[in-house]
Amino acid sequence: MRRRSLIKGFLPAALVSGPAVLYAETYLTVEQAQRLLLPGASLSPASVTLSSAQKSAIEKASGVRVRETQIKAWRSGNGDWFIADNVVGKHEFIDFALALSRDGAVKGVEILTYRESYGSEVRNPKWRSQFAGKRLDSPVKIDKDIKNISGATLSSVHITEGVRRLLNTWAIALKS
Amino acid sequence: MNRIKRCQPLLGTFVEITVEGPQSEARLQGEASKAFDLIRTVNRLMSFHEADSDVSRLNRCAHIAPLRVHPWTWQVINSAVKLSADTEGAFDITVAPKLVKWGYLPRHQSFSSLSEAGQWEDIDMQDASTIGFRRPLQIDLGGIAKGFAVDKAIDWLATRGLSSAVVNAGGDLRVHGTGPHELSIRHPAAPQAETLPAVMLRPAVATSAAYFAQKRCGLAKVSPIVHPRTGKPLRSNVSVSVFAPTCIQADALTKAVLLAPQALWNRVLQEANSLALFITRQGEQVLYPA
Repeated sequence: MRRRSLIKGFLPAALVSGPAVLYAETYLTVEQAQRLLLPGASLSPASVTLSSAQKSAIEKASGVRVRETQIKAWRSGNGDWFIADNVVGKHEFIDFALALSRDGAVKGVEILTYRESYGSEVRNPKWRSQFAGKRLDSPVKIDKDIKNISGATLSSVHITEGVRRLLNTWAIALKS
Repeated sequence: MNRIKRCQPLLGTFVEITVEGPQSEARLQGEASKAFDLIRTVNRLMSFHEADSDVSRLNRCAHIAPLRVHPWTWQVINSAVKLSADTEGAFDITVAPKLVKWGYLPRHQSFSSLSEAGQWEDIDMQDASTIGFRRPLQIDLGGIAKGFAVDKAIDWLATRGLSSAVVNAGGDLRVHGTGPHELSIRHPAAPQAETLPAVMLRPAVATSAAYFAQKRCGLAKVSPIVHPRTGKPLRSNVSVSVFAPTCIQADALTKAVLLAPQALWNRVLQEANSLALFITRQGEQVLYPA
């Protein structure tokens, strides 16, 4: 019994390996997100590279692994912060932006680019035909082409963890 | 004609808003921002995770004395209780203790294990803003509040002179205005890999299935869809999509259809002018009423 369930669990993973179709939706550019989250602010770049001590302090405080030590941050004239970052979603990177007030309160979160990969299992012709003529190396422009998808709720817990990691990054490496 | 699409992490999922209209892009962004604010308000009132939400306040002390809540919270809980009555308890917002035990919801310090005992009949809906519990209870609106939030956003966007709007809260979605609003539904056997084309038979649709959230709790496989009578998790990978006039109906009715006897949900669907689409692991689709 035990072995059967193991085999069942592994089979789909084996099936979906193969050329994957990338589904990517870009909602906002970094500049658009800056204008929406911190309207009217003039931002200057304030990126930092985390030291290994800072990296482990952030990991300890947030309980989330730090994959990237380059923090892309901007600071506004009145002390607000804007950080562009990414997390790994179900399989692919999700780019997001976080705005913080000068005292470190969340002012807003926007998803910049959402990606999902579809494996070679994509055999439904109607679905696949939506991608006809779209190249893999250029982000697929969705707008009118790709339809609304309904399904069991996809959790955004990775974003929640990413925000927690950035709040601790702000406290440890950005504010001062 | 301009069109914008935005996405924010809210209600524990990704909420996507698409609006199209003759307004400038900046105006459209402003309308979307306001719609997100409404959803954020629903999130703040009805989150199980946040300690100061109406839901958490009720869970802490509504069995000691009735509490005043926001009219929206009252409205959602009232709809939930009504659906529980119509489905003889197959839809029940008091299954939260099981979800806490299986790790789907956070364990708040103040929870007593005795609270597993209560059920929907112990919720006492008083005047239009007061709710009491007849016994200690834990409620979770995860099966209905997302739909309500989508409705709030669409109701507001519908007054803004847009030609069309779509609000999609992680698969619970509602459309407004000119279409065609076509739809894809995830294939239950390969939800990450394949979708099936469908048509919006009503303005709102929601889909329930256990595929994204199954996990192990000890030796047992569990999912966040719990049968209120048996306390057992739904493990089958069949997916149910309900098409309804509003998203709160679609969201809640998917659970009723998954868990209630067919004679009951047939009647409930009919009363709500709704349709249920089953998709099996093999991709077979069955629509009720046919």
